[in-house]
Amino acid sequence: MADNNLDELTDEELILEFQQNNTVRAFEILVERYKNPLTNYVFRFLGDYEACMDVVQDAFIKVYRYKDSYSSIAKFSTWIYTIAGNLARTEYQRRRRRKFFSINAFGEDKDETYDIPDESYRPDQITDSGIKDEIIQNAIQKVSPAYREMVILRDIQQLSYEEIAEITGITVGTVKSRINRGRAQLQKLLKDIYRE
Amino acid sequence: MNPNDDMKYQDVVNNLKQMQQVKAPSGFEADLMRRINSGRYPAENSYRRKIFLPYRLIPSAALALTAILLIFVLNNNGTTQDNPLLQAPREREDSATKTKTALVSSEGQSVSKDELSTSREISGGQKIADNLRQDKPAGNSAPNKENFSPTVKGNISPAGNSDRFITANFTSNRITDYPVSKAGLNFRQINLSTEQKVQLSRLKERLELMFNERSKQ
Repeated sequence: MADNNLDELTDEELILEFQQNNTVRAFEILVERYKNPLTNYVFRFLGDYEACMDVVQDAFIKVYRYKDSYSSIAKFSTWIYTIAGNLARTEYQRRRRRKFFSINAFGEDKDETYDIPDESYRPDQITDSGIKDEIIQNAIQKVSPAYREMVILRDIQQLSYEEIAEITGITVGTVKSRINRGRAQLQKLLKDIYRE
Repeated sequence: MNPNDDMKYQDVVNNLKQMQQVKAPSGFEADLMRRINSGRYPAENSYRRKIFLPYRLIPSAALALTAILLIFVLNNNGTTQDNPLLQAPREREDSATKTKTALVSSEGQSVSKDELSTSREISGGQKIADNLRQDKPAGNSAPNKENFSPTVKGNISPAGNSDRFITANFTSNRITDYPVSKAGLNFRQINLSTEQKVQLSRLKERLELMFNERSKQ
């Protein structure tokens, strides 16, 4: 299939093309389409851009390696969000464990870190230029992970309740209730912003 | 979820929607394709490896260690071995009674274990008495011989309401006429060898000779 035609195909058609004919260009188009939404989703969940990039790359590598495990009954976006979400959750737990066992956990100042400062290109600093965005991002990090994921998928990624239910593997009712609780937690955390 | 909830959290929703999109770096595709082509995939953890990862083992290892420590501590407290020399000897049930009451099975009917042991005692007692009579020196005839000769007086009477059993009471008047109670005696049972038995019977003979001589005097 010609490259021009590939650009017009839907996500599901592209992954089928990649499955059946091993067309790498189809995969590259999928990467182009999903790299930014996934980066935004994973970054808002983890709050660390470097870790987020690793997770998103790992998600695409999984798509590349296990392309045959995708079944056409599901939407491609749901599938890739599920992969990225699982990887993000695993990374979040790993980081929490590492933090628990690290020397920082025993220090007086819990926010103190021993990371070597990285002066390289940091899009998170560019995008979170506004103080408000930074405050909101910090507040999101304080919301319980189960609620945080739902709020990000709904209010930041603008996905439907059904899609979120499919991605997370829980019922629509539970999704709605978790979104509600997450929003309530966020509102409590951001009350100072609303006063202003 | 109420339809009013969206309105309730309108500020939060709006703020989240207005947040700037975080984008992937420009060289994202190139890095990704490089990783794919170089085969530097994230190592897939096998099921077995996932289970036996050290951090997963920490809670179970701690639990096992605690259990082992508890077992050791409790065992050390519980296993204070009593010195057998300081313990009171175990009282034998069969020797604690003043008179022995034996239940002997009658007329070839099925005999229980207790019944058998009791009948053995009776026959054993008679046997000892017979032996003592035989062991007595032939030429040693004394006027009050009967006072010192070992005798076993048997008193057999029907027992209770059952005609299957008979009660046998045995008392010895060999040396003393008063009944000897073994209750409260501190003794232990020793299985004698044949040599020891022979030695014991000799001692008994000597003792009897001594008694005979004293009585003559």
